[in-house]
Parts: sequence; C-alpha cells; structure tokens
Amino acid sequence: MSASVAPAIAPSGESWRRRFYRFRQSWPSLLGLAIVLLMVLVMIFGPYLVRFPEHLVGQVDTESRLMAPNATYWFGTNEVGQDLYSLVVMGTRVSLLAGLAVVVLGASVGITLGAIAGYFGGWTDEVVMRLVDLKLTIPGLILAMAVATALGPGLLNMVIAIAISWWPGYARLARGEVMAKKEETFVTAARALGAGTFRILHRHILPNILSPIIVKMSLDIGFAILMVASLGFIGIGVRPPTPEWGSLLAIARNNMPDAWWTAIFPGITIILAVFGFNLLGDGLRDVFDPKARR
Amino acid sequence: MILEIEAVTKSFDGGRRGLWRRVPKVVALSDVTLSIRRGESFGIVGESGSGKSTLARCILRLEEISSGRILFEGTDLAKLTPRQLQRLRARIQIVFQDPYTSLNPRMSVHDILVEPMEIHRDRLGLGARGRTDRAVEMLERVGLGVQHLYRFPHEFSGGQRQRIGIARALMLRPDFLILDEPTSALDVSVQAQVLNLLHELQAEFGLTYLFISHDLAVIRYICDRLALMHRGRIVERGDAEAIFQRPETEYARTLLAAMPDPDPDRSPFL
Amino acid sequence: MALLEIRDLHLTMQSFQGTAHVLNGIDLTVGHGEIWGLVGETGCGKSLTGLSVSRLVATPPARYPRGEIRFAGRNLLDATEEEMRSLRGRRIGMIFQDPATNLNPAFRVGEQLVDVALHAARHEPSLLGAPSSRRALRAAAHDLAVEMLDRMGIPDAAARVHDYPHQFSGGMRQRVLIALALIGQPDLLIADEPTTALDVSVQAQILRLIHGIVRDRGLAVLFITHNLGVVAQLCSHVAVMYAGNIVEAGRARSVLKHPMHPYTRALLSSVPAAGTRRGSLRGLAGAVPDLVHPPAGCRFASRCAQAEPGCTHTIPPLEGTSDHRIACFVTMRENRVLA
Repeated sequence: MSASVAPAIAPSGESWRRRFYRFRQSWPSLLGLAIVLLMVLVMIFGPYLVRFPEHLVGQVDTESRLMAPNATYWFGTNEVGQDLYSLVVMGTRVSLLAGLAVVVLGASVGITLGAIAGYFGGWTDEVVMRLVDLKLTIPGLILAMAVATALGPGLLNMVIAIAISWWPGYARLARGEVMAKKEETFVTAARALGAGTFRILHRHILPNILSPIIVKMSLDIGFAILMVASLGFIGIGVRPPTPEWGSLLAIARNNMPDAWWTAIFPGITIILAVFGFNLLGDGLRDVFDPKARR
Repeated sequence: MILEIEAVTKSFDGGRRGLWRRVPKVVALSDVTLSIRRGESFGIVGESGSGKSTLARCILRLEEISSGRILFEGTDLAKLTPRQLQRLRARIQIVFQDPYTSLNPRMSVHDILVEPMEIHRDRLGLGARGRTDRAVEMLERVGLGVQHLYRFPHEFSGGQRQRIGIARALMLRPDFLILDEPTSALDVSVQAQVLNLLHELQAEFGLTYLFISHDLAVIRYICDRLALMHRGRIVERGDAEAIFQRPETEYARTLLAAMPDPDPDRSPFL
Repeated sequence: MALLEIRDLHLTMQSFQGTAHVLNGIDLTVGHGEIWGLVGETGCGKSLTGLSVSRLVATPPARYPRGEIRFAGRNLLDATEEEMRSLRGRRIGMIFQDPATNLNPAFRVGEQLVDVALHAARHEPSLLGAPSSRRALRAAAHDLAVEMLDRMGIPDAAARVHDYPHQFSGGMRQRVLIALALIGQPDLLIADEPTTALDVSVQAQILRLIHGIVRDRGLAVLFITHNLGVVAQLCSHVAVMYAGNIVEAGRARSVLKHPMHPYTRALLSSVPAAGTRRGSLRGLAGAVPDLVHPPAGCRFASRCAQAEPGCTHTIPPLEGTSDHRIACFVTMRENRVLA
C-alpha cells in the first residue's frame, strides 16, 4: 500500500507536526497541558502572586484566625490566621519541584540500571532484576516512610526517600525497551562500524526508547506529588513553616468540619495537579505510541 | 584471495527456556568453505533459513564461529586483538536488506554518515568540517544531494534510504562490502537503479562484493561466481553463468526451475 | 455479462496532508476462468483496488466519489455490510500476503475452515449437501475441510486439520489460507501478493495450485503482485497500474511480449534477465507523483521519456482492442501513423 497515502504508523519516524496534530485533537490532553502550564506558572511567579508573604515565614495573625473565604483572604485563613491562598500558592513550588525531583532521580537511576541490565543480559540482568523484584515486594509508601524517618525531616531527604521506591518501574521499562532495540538493524550496523558499548547505548538505543519513558515520567509526576503530599500529611517530610499541600491538609483535620475551606483548597489543588499530569501523560502516550490507545 | 572461509561451522546454543528445559542446538552453518577473490562479486544464494545471513554476521564478527577459520587477507579473524578488530571494521562493511530499520530514526543523514568517521577518528585525523565535507561528497556520489544532509530517515523513500545505507557503508572506504539482500525490499525500477549504482561504485572504489540474495535473476546480473546454500551447507558453487546454464545438483535445478521468468512463453502452465 | 466489472472507479483517501486521489478511474473486466494480474509498484493502488472489490476499505477515511464495481451484475458500492458479509468467503474469496497474521493462532485450522464452510452453507445450502441434523452438518463441513486441505496438497490432511496454525510452515500456512478462501467455492478469488513472503520453490507450488483450481473450476482470479515473472507464469491477463490509473491492460502474452506504454516498458526493462549486461539495466528515475496534488493529465508524464506538452493537459483514456489497451497519447498516435 502507499506510504504517502495510508499513513503507516511509525512512532519514532513521524514528523512533529503530525504528532502535535494528534495531541491537539484530544481536548483532555489540552486540558492537561493547560493545568500543568498553570501550575508551572504559579510555581515560577509564586512570590508575585502571594498576598501575605509574611505568613510564609511563620508569622501568625490571631486576630483573623479561621476566617471563611472573603475578599481579603481568598481561600480563608487557618487556625493561626495565615492566608491559605498564599500558603497554597507557595506550596506549589515545593510540591511540583519535589515531584519532579523524585521522578528525575528515580528515572535516572532506573534507566541506567535497566539499560545496563537489558543490554548486557546474563548475570548483570539477573542481579538488577532480582533487586527490582525485591524492591517491589515492599509497598512504596511504607519504604518511603521508613527511609524518610531514618534520614530525618527535610525536603531533600523526602525526595531521596521517595525516589528509592521509584526507580524499579523505570528499570523494568528501560530494560524491556533496550532489549527490543538492541536487536534493531541500525544497532547491528553501528556494531559493524566498530561503535563501542557507550556509543551504541547513548547514540542509538537511548534516543529511541525515550518516548515511553517521557510518557511514564509525565504520568508519574502526578503520583509523586501525591506521595509527597501523603508523607506531608502523616507528618514526615517537609516541616512547617515551609508550606506544603499535604501538611496543610493534615493541619486542616483539626478544624473540620466547621472550617471546611482549610481542607478543601489544598485538597482541590492536589487533585488538580495529579489530574493535570495524568491527562498530559495520556495525551503524550497518544502522541508517541498511538497503538496503545484504548 | 581477499577472504577465505575454511570449514566454518556455527551452531546456536538453544539456551534455557524456563527453568530446566533446554532448547536444542541449532546448526546454522555446517562445514562451509569458500574463497573470494579481490575485486569480484561473489553471490550467495539460498532460501530463508539457509544460513546465508548468519555467514555474513560471522564474517563481520558479530557472531563467533563454532569451528573452522575465516581469513581476511590471510589473517585469522578470530585471532585479532580488539584494536586490530576495530581496524578491520573499517575495511569490511555491510549494507542491510531493510532500508526502514537499518537507519537510526533519531539521527539525521549527516549524523548517520559522519558517525563512522567519528568512531575511527584516531586514524582518519579529520576535523568536524572535514567529516561533513566527506559526507556530502559521498551523499552526492550515491545520487543524493547536500539538500538532504539534515533530513531524517523517515523523509526518504525506500530507494533513497538504501542509498544512504550504501553511503554509510562506504564512508570508511572499505575493501570488502557485504550486501545482504540490498534490493529485496525495493520496487523493481528502484532496484535497477540501486544495482547500477552498486556496479559503478565497485569499479570506482575497487570493492569486492559478497552479494547475498534469494533472487536468482539479481545474482545472475551482478555476480561473477556464486555459491548455493541450503540448510547451512553449500550445495553448489562455481562460475555464475555456468551454474545457471548447467546446474549440477538437484537442488540447483529445482531452484532454477522455480524462478519465475518474465517471458510468458516459458510459463510452466502453458 | 462478465463476473466482475469495475467501471470508472474513483477512490479518495482523507489523510493528514489532505485528500489523496488514490484510484483515478479504474476500468477492469474479469470473466470466469480468467486470471488477471494487477501489477504496479508500491503505492500504485493495486491493493486498494482488490480491497475495494471485497469492500474492505474503511470509509471514512476512504470515499468512492464515482464509479461502480459490478459483481454478477450487482453494484457492490451500494451493497450493505450485511450483503457483503454473505458474499465474502462465499462468492468472493480472499488471500493476503502474510500467512502468519491471517490465521487465528488460538484455533485449530480445521475449526477455522469449518466456520467458513458453515457460514458459506447458510447462503448456499447445496455446499454441504442436505444433512438431517446440525451434527451431520458439522460433520459434512469437517469432511469438506479435510478434502480442501488435501486438495491443496497438504500431506496427511485428515490429521493436520487438528493442528494449530503455528504448527505449519510458511508455505503450508499459505495453503491453509487458500483452502480457507476457496472452501465456500467462490466465483472470484482476490489474491493480494500471496507468494511475496515465500521462498521461490514454495511460490512455484502455490502458483501451480492456483492455476490448477482455475483450470478445473473456472474460477476468476484477481492476482495482485509486483512480480512480473509471476504474472508471466500464471496470468492470462494483466493490468499495469501507475499512481491510481491502469496504464496498460490486456492479454498477458500481448502486454508482456509487446509492451507499448512507456511505464510498462520501463518496468520490464528493470528486471534483469539472462544475458543482461551489467550496468545496462534501465530502471526509472524520479518519483511517483504526489496523490494529494496530482498533476493534470497523464500521471506518468513527469518521468516519461517521450512525454510531450500535450500529455500534461488531459488524462489519456485507456484505448485499444479488448486484447490490448493502453492509456498514452503519444504511443496511440504513433501507432496510428504506422498502421
């Protein structure tokens, strides 16, 4: 059949125009992109959007405690009179950066190990994959809690703790993709030209397995944000006064059900973030891997 | 003799499937002996599973042979140090069958053609500029142009891709070129052009061809001598025209009879 | 009336780049006992012509703005899906290129054959005789399945009906597919590159098989291939396609021995034959025209050595005798001068 007519689906060989066309055609992907862009903008311009910067460094205002949303305090105030809107806006920074850091860290470790396992096979593969299996027997949140407790509080420690439970997924994904790609003819061609292992992995295999990894990363950022919030909620992780969505939610427990706004606004924000990254990830999957749709 | 293959046998260990079950050993080549003269076109004909592609991989040392010897200009390939092997890679090159999978979809034509020179930078001593110039020169030689330099494989037709594959194989000026079914994925009008290009390049670069194909007409057109393979063995070998006119073995006769002739008068059904 | 008459068939395909004019007025008549070779290079529309006859082209993205496909008098472009289902497998059999993907790996080949036979028998009860019960009907279908495999030259057919597709070699699987296409005793067989994936020795066997069935049963065949050698061996007639048009058609012997259209000539001179001097193969420079913005006039003009300014104005009609027709202004004029 005609190559020019019936568009043969070649995920890696397609033009970007056509990919974007497919992305644009689905409104959920665009909505996801919009939410994520909004979050990023809030993250970048957070300091300019904040209405009560002094509340972010721990200052309290007992006069105006637990006020319902109004013209001054858009999201209402908490039990020490801090502006919830300011806290949620600045929490975006922590949550998004932490989520991103977890995924990037987890992916780097996972892809490196998975690629090595998939390319060399044999006992290297055995060792890495048994390590992955071992990790997968422990629930992620439990492990993260344990590590976070051991390392002590702090944003960086929390990121490390979550990333430790995050790499195996990437290792598995990368291993499978590498194993498939290393049999491709262009890899054989590179070997016949005398290309070394590093060049083959770095120039020929990795660029060709990036699509599914990017998809997974965009889907995972949402879950990582959720995990950060969960750790914040149970009190391990970021400590006040650093604003963080999960810990805002935890504090709100004490004021429920009367001061509903203290829980609703951080809660909605978390949902929105997870939802946005998931929609974006699904959209990217359609773009990179059209065969996996539905 | 540029290449001598002496009693080469290659078997694949089945490996393990599941915990205990071993897959039986597969013998891909058994007792293959051939010698190829400098500057000739040597054809290897066989149907699928005859071992012809495995032989190519063994010559390229992408696969280790189980027994026997392969000598390139008198040197045993199995005895090369890694350094010598690297040098050899510049001298024996290959063009693959499928132009759609043999080029890295993420690399531009420029990167594809320059890569061999980057790998062998030490001995070539070319700067980035020099490498690009040489890539353009070769691109033009195979019938494409400088305007194609920064395009990606998916922007080309099958025939054009195959030309890029040929250019890549010739970048290091090899002496010996393995052509593994280089035209079987192409339309006949494109095939004719690629065959003609290969013919011109052979004279121009002083190449020796090992031409692997299942298409007897193509082999007859391009090759001086040939070997007929069947189930990992060579069943007949010799001067190409002689084999086509007076096949000695039963298998050769069957294969020749099965070859569809574009002359309707020779239809077996008339 | 011929069994299959395709008249002025146009097919457009909605694609990312725009509307592609994929078939551009196909005229083809296939009678009982005729084997028509449909040849041409990648993208010429030969497969879509075959798929259109069995109405297996998805609409949209495809559309049939003009033309008709008459099968035994009925215009298939007006047929309902229901009607087509009763024709496929029963009166129109189909074989495709890749035998591996066209058999269901989860079912024994016997079951697949029996299913098609039962389906065909619903529309043509005489196929399985007049069995008294459902059980007898199934038994009759099973017997027919064995008989078909046997006729296809599969050794020990009675035992092999119980095998799964993966237990057959490529050539044997293609035979199973042919049996599947022929078990309903169709009048028309559409074979799309049925031997391309096979070794030449297996190909020869398959061709012999198809030829034998045509001779015995008067089956009409539309044989889609890019291999001119196969056409020369098997086909009684041939239609050469280029970029959505038939450019030359007629008796295979006449067309292949005395090709007149410049494209057919170029195609034939691209195949190396005994005694072709190395480097003298002609080939064809240039590329197939863009079907989204097809050139006015003859679509081959841009690659044609004998094209004249007039060629790019109007599309040349397919003219000549029923034995040999071509679509080329220049050739037609010169032939008239000579005659």
